[in-house]
Amino acid sequence: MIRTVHLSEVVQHYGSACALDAVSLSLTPGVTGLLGPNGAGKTSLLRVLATVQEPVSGTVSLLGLDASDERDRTSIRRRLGYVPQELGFPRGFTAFGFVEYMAVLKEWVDAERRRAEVRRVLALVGLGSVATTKVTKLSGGMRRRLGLAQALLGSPEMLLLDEPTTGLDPEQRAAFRALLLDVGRNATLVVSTHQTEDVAAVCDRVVVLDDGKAVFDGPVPEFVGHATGRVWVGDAPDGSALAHRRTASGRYRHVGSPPAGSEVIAPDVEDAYLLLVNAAQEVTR
Amino acid sequence: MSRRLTSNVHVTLGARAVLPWFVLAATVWTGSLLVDRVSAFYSELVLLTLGPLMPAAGLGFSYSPLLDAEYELVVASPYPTLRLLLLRAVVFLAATAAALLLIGEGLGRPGLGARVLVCATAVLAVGLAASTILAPPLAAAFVAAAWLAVVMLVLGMGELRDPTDSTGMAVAAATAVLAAAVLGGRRRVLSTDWRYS
Amino acid sequence: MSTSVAEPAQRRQVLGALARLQARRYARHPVFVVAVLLVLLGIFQAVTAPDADNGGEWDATLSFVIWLGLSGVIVGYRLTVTEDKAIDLLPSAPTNQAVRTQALFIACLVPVLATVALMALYGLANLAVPETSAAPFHLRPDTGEIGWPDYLASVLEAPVSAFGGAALGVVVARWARVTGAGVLAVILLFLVEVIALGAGEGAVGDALWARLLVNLMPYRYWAFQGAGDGVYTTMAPGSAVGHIVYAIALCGLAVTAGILKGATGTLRTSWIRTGAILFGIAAVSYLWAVFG
Repeated sequence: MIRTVHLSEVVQHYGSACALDAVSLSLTPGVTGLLGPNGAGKTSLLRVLATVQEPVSGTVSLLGLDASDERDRTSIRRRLGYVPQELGFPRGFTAFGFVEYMAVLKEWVDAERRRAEVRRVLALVGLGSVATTKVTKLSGGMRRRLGLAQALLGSPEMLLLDEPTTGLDPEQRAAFRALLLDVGRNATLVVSTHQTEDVAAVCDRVVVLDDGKAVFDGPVPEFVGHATGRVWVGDAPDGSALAHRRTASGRYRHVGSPPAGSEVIAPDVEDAYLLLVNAAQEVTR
Repeated sequence: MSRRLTSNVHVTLGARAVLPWFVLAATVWTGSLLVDRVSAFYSELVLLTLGPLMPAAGLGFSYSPLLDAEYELVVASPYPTLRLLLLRAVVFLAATAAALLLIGEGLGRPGLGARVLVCATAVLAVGLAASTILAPPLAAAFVAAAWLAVVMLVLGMGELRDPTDSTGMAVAAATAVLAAAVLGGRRRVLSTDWRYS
Repeated sequence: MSTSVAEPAQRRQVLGALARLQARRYARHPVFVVAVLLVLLGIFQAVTAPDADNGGEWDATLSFVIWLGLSGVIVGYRLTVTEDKAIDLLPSAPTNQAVRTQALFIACLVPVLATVALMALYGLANLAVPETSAAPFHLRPDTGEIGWPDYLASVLEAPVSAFGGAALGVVVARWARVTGAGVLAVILLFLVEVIALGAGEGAVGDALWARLLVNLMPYRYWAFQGAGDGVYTTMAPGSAVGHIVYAIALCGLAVTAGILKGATGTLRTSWIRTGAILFGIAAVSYLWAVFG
């Protein structure tokens, strides 16, 4: 399979803080989830992939092109869509106007074709009816969808989404996931998210970052498989667990080393994530 | 005691607005004095055009969600928004008054500073009243444009009529009173976030 | 691979599309609209003023420069700053900051077109009002006191200042992103111009330092009071043609400064070279304006 993303020993610093510590990745078309605690380096990684930031060292190859070369970088940008974590909107634009503005920046110079494309992507994200509404009047969820709309211009080969489901209600999130699945059939999607349900529902593979390092990179079933036999439930929180959470039934779900006689259950993505991150923190301690 | 004072100052002024306003105001005051070295006519023109705008500019800066990150929290707090708006307006007006009177003395025309101050008060009052209809920063921009139009109209009436003559002062005072009445009548609007009204 | 991705377009086409978009934003900006309305008010006042010997006390070129030129600083600044609200997203687009800045500078032609149109309107209004005996924009080339080149150059000060003001706003936004920078730039420009114009016109007007100062300004006023008779019929000392070339070079330097911010590689080198040439032209034309 063609590698659309290949990172080798990528390092990124912000002053004395190390955001990415010799990260190496290879991604193919499909949907990859990016998980990690706050400050793990997810946004930094996406910014490197979006060619918005150049790493301090390491090689970045995207869509078969070298991201450090200026001409190649422009070619990459013609074929990628990006939704940053915090997307500001220029004042005075309507939803249509903003997406059209981004379309011009993405070199859609023919006015008729450009407007048709803008209408297409707005309809795709369910914002066709509010195209003439000022962005400032849109709800937070609508603005996130507007951000996605501009990223979908030209049906890009690589789509980078930084916490795209933040602010969406459950129904919107379900629709969003269906859209991502559809887009991910033909493109390379990287979705940074705190929502492990998104990873479970949409992603083929998952990369877990912690403290700037990639601590896991593989298929989702393999990720979940690491937690097999490490998850149990009980009626009260168990102090010996690495982490626990209350479920809808009122019982407690634990990850770690199950005590003898405990009720072991099949793990999910969140269990695997909590196990991985907390085990790493235990080692550090 | 000093921590409480600092937080009071922060709330009273929307402290992040103070520095940009001070730089702007200091530029205008210094500029007026420098212009006077070459032309008395132009220094009066500068003071007349820009002086009355300074308190309204302070209001626009200090009541802007762009500058005041805690803006929404302040509106949601029990602290009356009208009181906050007036407090900030008074502070900027007081600072402008001191500067105008000193500059009037510096230019050798003490009455000029006082007359410009009356105009500044009227402009500020209209800005406060307009804040019940527009966002405060927009209200400040609106009154600035309106004042500049007034200056242009009066100066263009021939023989360089002075907007701060006795007729002008009477009009300014009446405008201030009328604006205060509008502000008083519409003060309830200020108790909610203008962005959502 | 998708077939709906646009072909890599000629940079000129992208620039044209972006410039049209920015020009529409400029024309619709409330500050610009208010400025145009104030100029119209000034024209109406000047044409109908009872003291019509000088076309009214308010010289129309000054009116254009004050309203359209100074407001342009605010509009140029705001267009640039508000576009950069999406700063996290813009670098990922194939159109780089240099092209976006060029589009903003092309949009700065909007106030120029507005100035030319309004000046034409003022000229026509002057012709239509029989009581007005003065030429528009004060000076009288037909009396032989000044030549047509100098007269036209003095009239051109207004549209060139319209571009210069807006371009300055873009430059300030690119280089000085602090609260109130746009407003501060307007006030500083206004004050510096007033000081220079006051120096050039007053009792010290003939002094060399006054001529050096007043010609350093991007805009200067050429109608001279002369002998304190209250009537502006004399050309100020210096060369208006030299000064308009200087003002145009300053506009070019503003464009250079705006595009250089964030430019890299060959683009940066070529614009530095352009800036050096423009600086040379500005220096020579400045001396021409002072001593011509």
